[in-house]
Amino acid sequence: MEKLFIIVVDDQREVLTTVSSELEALGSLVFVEECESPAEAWELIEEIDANGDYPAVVISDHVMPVKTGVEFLSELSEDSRFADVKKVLLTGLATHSDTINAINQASIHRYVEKPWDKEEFLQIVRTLITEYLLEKGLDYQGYSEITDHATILRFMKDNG
Amino acid sequence: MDFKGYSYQQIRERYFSEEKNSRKLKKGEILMKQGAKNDRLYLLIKGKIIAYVSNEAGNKYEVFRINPGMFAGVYSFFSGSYMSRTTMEAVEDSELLFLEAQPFEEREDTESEIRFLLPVILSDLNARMESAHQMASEKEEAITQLLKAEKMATLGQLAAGLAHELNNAVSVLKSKSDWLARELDNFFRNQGAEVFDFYHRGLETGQAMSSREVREDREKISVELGVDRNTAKRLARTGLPISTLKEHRGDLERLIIYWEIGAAFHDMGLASEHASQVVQSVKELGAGSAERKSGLDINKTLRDALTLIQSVLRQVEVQTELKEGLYTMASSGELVQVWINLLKNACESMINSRMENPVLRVETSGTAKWITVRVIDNGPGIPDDIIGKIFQPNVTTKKGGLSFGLGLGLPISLNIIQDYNGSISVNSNPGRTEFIVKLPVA
Repeated sequence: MEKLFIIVVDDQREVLTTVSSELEALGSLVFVEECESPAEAWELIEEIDANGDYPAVVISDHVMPVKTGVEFLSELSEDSRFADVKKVLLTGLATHSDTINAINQASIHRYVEKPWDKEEFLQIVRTLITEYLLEKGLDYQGYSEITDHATILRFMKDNG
Repeated sequence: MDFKGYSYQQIRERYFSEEKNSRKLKKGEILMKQGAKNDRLYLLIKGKIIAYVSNEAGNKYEVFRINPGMFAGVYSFFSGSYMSRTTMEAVEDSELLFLEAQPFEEREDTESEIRFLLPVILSDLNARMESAHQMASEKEEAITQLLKAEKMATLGQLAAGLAHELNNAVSVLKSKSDWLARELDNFFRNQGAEVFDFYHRGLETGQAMSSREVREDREKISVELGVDRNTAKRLARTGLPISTLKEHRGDLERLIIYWEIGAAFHDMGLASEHASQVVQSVKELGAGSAERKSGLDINKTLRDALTLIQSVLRQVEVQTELKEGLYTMASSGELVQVWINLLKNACESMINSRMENPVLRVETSGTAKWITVRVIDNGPGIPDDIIGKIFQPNVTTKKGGLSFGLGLGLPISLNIIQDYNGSISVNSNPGRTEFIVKLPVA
């Protein structure tokens, strides 16, 4: 079976491990990877892609040195290989214009504010993984442990 | 045109030479009243007179000032109204000479005389206009300063209130987590050497491994120790050598949680430290509570600041040229905070631009009255569109990092330095940005 990856990007290591250990609740069906910078994340995403695996969800902090989360997610959106990757901005500090750019340029799918609620956050990720599987036409049944049932039903209905 | 008016000296000799036509005013005395009769043209010899108008509400507005050599009553005299438009008050003991309208009017050559008087009168009016202009721009500047100060004060009060509340919350979190860590220390000590060792290593270092290192190590750990992917990742985070891990083979699934508990306390400690520092710096914005000492060694405060931000400075070359024996009256803590702000701004702008050979230069120099501190970097410079407002709250070029990108560093610094009757200015061009702080010697 193909491998699904969730990539978490945050320059603060404590935040990074907090997010990724929360995601471990999703079990061993998805691979959670931590990156301390957009550059590191890019390297990893290229590698995942080269192995024929799927970067399903990218969760990025916004305020980081060198490159912001919005800049990083915009780059990802502009790359046709990764345009359909589900993008989440997880941030404690973003200005109004950052937010506008996040939606218009980075086409993010979810905007989560720090501090976040663990259960809500997990639900968001489940929904996004489910959408990704369905949109990519992957076999979602193998992931029934972590997929969101309501999302599947909605998809079925919308797509006849 | 060969027409030339009278000079000041000629006018004085020609019209203002009669001994009896002189007047002395004590400071505070009124020369003429707004709306009252005045048929004299005065020439001020000595002192100073202010002309003002009053509105219906009784507020007085200064219109112009008359200095020695200037005329008073020009309008009432030459317009023929013989009525003063302003009230004139001597603000110093003054001496004036005057010319009365009636004898002047009755001369046969009045008209040509007026023509000769004209250049001097015009230059007098022009001087008044210029002084009015000067006053208007000074007033505008004062209003701007006032608004700025008021904004800072409001923000400061707000921040101080907020900081106080947060400080209580953070203190509780910090002291309780310290207590819990100590209790667990005892508890784990009784759970055997291995448990305590894992807990303690986690507490001491936290996760020192970067995400990249963890990724690299986990494969090896997974293969060599025969553990699953998730456990291998958790073990890789500890940074413990494989040999140590191998010693505990078979028991690692149990022990790893103790390292993680330790590391969690480590992170909590860092986070509460971080939070109280932020709170502290916000508090400083509002309150000048820090204790001030005279004879404070400027260079010592600079060296303290350089020590405190060593971790940032590792990425740049630091040059110092400190003149010894510079003392001012200040709170050491506040000055250190100002230097840290300036030094960190300089470093971060250089590091973030990923330039080659970043150099940070700190210079001190002094005169009998003033101490000058310069913080100079060779970074990309401050963008034109924000350089005019860098001392306002909420302006930041930073995308995170040590100062948390709150955009409060420079306003706080400005507040502190102004409180010491000093000043901060900036010159910025690509390749050289210089912050200049001046403080009084004390």
